[in-house]
Amino acid sequence: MSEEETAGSKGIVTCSAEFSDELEKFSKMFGEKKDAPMREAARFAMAIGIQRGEREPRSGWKKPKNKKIRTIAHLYGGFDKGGQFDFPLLFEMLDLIEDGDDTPLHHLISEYVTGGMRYIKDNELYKLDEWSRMKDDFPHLFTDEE
Amino acid sequence: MKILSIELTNWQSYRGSGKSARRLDFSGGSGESNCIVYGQNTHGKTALWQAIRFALYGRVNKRMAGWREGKFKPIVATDSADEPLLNITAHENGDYTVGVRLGFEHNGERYMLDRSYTSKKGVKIPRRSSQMEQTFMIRNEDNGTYVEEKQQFVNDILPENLARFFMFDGERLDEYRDLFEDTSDVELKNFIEAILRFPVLTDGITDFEKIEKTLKKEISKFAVKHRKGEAAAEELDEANSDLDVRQEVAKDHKEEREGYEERLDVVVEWLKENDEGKKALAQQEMFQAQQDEAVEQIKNTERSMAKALPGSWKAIISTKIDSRLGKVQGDLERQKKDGEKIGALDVQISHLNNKLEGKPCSTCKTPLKVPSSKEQDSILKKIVSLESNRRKLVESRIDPSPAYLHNRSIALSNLKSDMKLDRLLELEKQLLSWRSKKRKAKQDLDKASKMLTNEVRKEVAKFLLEQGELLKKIGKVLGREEENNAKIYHLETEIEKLGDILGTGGGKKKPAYRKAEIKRDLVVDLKNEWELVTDEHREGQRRSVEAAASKVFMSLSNKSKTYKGLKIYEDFQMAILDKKGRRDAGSGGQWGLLAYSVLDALTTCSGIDFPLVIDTPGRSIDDEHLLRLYDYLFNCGKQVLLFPEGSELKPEIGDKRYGHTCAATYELKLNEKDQRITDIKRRINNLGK
Repeated sequence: MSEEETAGSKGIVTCSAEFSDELEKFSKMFGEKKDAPMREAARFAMAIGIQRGEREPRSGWKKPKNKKIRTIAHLYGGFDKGGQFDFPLLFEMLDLIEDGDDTPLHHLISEYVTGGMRYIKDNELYKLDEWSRMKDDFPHLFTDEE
Repeated sequence: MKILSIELTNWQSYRGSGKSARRLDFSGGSGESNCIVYGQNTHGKTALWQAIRFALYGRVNKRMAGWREGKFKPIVATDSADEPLLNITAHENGDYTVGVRLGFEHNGERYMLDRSYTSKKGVKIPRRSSQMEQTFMIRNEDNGTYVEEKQQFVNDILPENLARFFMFDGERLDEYRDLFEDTSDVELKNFIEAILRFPVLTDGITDFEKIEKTLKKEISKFAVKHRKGEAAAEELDEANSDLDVRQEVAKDHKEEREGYEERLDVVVEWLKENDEGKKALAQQEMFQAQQDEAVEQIKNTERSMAKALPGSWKAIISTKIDSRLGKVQGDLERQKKDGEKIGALDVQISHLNNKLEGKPCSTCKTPLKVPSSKEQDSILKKIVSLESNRRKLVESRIDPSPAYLHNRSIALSNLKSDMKLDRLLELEKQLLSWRSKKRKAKQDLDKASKMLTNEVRKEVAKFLLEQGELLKKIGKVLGREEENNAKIYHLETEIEKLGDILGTGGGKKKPAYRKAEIKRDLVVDLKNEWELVTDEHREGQRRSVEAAASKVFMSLSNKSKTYKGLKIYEDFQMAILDKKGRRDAGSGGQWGLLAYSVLDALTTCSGIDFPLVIDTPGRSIDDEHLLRLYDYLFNCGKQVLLFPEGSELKPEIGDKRYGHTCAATYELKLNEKDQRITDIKRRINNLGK
């Protein structure tokens, strides 16, 4: 059984192998602990993906050599922080579940995480000194200086 | 000493001053120097006798004052009962000068002593002695000079306290006799010892005793120190030993430190010569530190960012959630309005039904008229229309229910955050700054590192390390040296203290101690010797006085068959001894002769050259013994000035028997006109022959 299958059958949120390294780097910015920073970074990437509507279906995920899909956490318990965040409701309310789309929620989330990671990689947010770039794309995150 | 003349100026009963001053001369042309001044009682004999004492000592005892002196005649007084020295008549006549001029010969030279009193300036009529001013001078007649220490000069000839042995009053002879018998009179004993010059010896003993006492004290101090010294000697040895060790340690410390300093000089010199390398190394270290600092700050900033990021994902999707929440809120609002419309339709329908049935108004209870059938049809049509509208509204209401929407709204709100990421931008700036510094530091570090070859760096580092170590070592040695020096100072202080206790001789007696002991022994020996000599002298003098007095006494007394002589005991108690050597009571006359004999013996043994000036010599002595006494006195070799009362020696007898030994004899008589004035008549005149 492949890792991906294992992850999917277990309801694990993942990220495309294409961004394994970047996610790893990016997660360091959220702390030095082992798992929590990774989950926080993945949620950050997911939010960017949702906000920007960047969903990268798993079927299109690249598989670079020597890289594996990055497993992040179980949707329920880890990723949703013990039920603190109601992701099914969120996805339903934000109309992120299209009619007829039976993609499991954890995959759906994973696809948005991957979408977000592309933005992060493209803007090198994992370097931490490029945050000002976000001002253009996410102006609501910053106080209007004017 | 011989008295040559006496001149009296307004002296008691002797009236006259200047050329009128009364004068008596005692210097015979053939060497005669004795003098007899005859006079009845109150005619001026005693005044003359007193004039000599006044000239010498400046004061005159009142005659009845007794043996002990103290009451003196006033210089001036207006009442004769006060016995003033200034003649009363002269005072009455405004002549206020009183005095005595005494011509005398001493050690072959002639002197003129002048002591007088005159009224002080501004005092018109002196009535008290304090209003009189003294003039006192002694002039050497041979060389015309004046004696400076006048009173001392007189006292050197005859001290005042010894004058009583040379100038005595026969009327007080009984007192002498009593005193010679009563040896409890310490004062007399002192006078006798004084005239025999014992004080010179006894004072010597006292002086030796004082010296001995001082030396004993000194020795006592040395002894205390010496005793302390014995205990201190051991401590001193120990302290000296410790000091040696400490000084050796100090030497080692110094050598060690000097060794380090020497090496340090080499290292410093090397570093100077390799200054560039040293600088490069220092720079490298500095840049490394800067880089490390930047790295640390970057980490800190990253940590701050990490704290700021969690939850920020909610903020990212906040606009979408807001939008969705707005829609939900809108649905809820619409549902609410539709509900209100349905309610309004229900009210209208109910009202129309009541109207149709003629029931009272459901709102105001007003009875309504039953409608006509035409009106009923119209009402029914309206009701049908309203119910149709109501059905439509109910059917068009949104599904799901408002409660469901409300719950969704709450759930969405929980996923929303108004968080701003401004803080992240600030941290980003800091991060960029530190990263820039880090890069700069790294560049500098790389540059500095390039200046240093590995070998040079290693060598500089080695020397710098050694320099640091040497400085530390020197610091430690200096600390030890300081500690050791403190101990040395303590030991030296201790040794100095012990040295003070011990002196330079350690446990042995100090030379000063030994010297003091030798001095003391010497003084004790001298004192003992002196006491021996004094005792011998005292005994010798006693024997001499005893012998001389006995000889005179035996020559004067007519009882050579009865008496053996006089006995003078060690305490100068005197006795007349019979032939068997027993004490004899003796008659009053015999005791009078005894007194004369002893006085003569004492003056002879004293070695003092001074005339015998005797006033009223014959009291208590019968005529037979009196003549014997005069015979002895005028042939004893001393100058004798005798002032007998008429019954004691009649002028005719006196002139006849002793006139040839006298320079002159005088007779005093009261002035026929003024009985308060004495006239002097010269009888025998051998003057200037």
